Amino acid sequence: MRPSPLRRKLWRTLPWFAGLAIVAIVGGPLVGSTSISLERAFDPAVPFADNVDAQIFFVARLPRTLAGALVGSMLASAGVVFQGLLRNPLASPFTLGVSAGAALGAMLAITFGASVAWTGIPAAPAASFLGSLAAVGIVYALARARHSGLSTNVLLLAGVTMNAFFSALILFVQYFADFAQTYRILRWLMGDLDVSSYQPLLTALPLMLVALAVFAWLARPLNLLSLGAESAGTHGLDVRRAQRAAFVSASLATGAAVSVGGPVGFVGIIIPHLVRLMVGSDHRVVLPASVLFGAAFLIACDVVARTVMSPLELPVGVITALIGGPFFLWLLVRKP
Amino acid sequence: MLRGVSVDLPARGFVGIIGPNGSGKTTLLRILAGTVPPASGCVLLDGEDLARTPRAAIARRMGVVPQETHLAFDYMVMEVVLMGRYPHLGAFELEGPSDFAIAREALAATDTLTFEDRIFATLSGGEKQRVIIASALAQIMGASSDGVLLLDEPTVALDLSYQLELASLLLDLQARLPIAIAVSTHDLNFAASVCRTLVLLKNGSVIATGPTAEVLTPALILELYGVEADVSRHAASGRIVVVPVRRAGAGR
Repeated sequence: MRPSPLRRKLWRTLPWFAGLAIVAIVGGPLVGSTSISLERAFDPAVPFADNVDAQIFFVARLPRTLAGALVGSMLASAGVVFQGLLRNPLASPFTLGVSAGAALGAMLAITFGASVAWTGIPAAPAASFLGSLAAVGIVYALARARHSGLSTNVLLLAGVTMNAFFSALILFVQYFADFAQTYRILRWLMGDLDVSSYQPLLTALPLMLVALAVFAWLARPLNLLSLGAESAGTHGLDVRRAQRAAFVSASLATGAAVSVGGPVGFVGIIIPHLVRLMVGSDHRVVLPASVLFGAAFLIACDVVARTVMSPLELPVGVITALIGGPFFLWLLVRKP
Repeated sequence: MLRGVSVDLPARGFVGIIGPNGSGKTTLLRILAGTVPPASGCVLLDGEDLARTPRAAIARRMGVVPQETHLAFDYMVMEVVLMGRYPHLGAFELEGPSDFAIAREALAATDTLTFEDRIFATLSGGEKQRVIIASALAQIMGASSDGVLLLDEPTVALDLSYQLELASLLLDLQARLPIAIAVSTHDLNFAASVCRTLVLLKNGSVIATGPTAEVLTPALILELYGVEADVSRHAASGRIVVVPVRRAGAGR
């Protein structure tokens, strides 16, 4: 039996995106203000304590690159899910204010964190997830009140309002942080991948894997939801269940990403859009391609952030905003 | 909103649900489709209660064509028609060659096979509707038993020539495929040209039901719409034609 055209399309497109992601993950740690060589970094003759190349590679740059991969893939795929769910290509974790909700959650955990550590659940990702879930709950209520998804006007206004609201609360919480924390928090709020250890990645990873598992199931339902909720129902979809799964999993992905890298903006809007231009609109291709392309994109942005004003290292959110702001405006003025 | 309504859609039947705005046509169609549960009573499909049938199983028997379809993203026509095959697939299963064959057959049946590789959003209103009908057909084709096609106000968004085209398409589909069709419409002439039986709905109640020629009478139209109308047979086409004359009590 011939393979289905969709399977052929997956085989023809995904290896390219995977290759791009691998090149970024391998190449990312090699670039920076100090040039290092892979050969020396992996030279077993030199002990790690004396191997400067290995230290830069494994301690400074590799966790940062992996953070870029995880944060980029989560924000990009969460963007795809929000767009499909709300039937609006301008939806994303950042434009909806969900990233800001997650940031507030993570800040509360960082500032008052000690008191929740006893639960055994890592406080920052969990609080970040709860923050994004609260923000998403507001979006969900709006979307339900409007029945057929969100119009662009409502979506943009809601996003602006949510961002302003959560930013005010973030400033309020920051008021309680001590002076030493403030600089670190400010950088993180701009979107910064300088994690300097593997620990935040390992704590966020399980949440990300759960989100990805739900996304895999959601891909086909998201195609049906593009028809509108009622038609999705007459195509045999349990619409309420699919919508809830999408809201919770996209919150999970956003929360996990923000707990690692802060509210990095625009990845969730740029990547899904570029991916759709390349592979079409079927979510079964768009979602995995966005995961891979999002990872490669954010690593590339971070390389620029680390080198453009070397030896100064910019927060990566500055770069994504410089690219994403004009891109978003172009989406707005473009013929629908 | 609906009270004491009983509707029968016979196998290979063609039923029109007519009535003024707000009479409950669309609600009745939603209840028939199983998307809205009735407050009391039930909808039986071959004797099985819809409320106790899994959604995917309903979808494999019944396709619904909404008034208008706006897709949030640029899907190809073929992708839209293949969405009709989703209820036939397992959770992670991809469409196979047989699904493509059925999708092509459905496109051919609605004379839209040439649009296969076009972006859905670039089609005209009438073309979009035919593709959505093809998608609904792909959904119910290949089932072991007869399918049901429900259309909600299908003529509303169409200009005159597409209305005629739609009427002949629906009659042609029913002549070739084992499907029962129900439409809700406020277009009496469209209903008269395609429906074998009519359900006259007013304020949520059925005021008459029966073969089109028997219930499409001046007396019942007056009761349904408060409009005096002439009902005659058009000489050339042999079809029943309704000409609204004046509102009842409007004098002269």
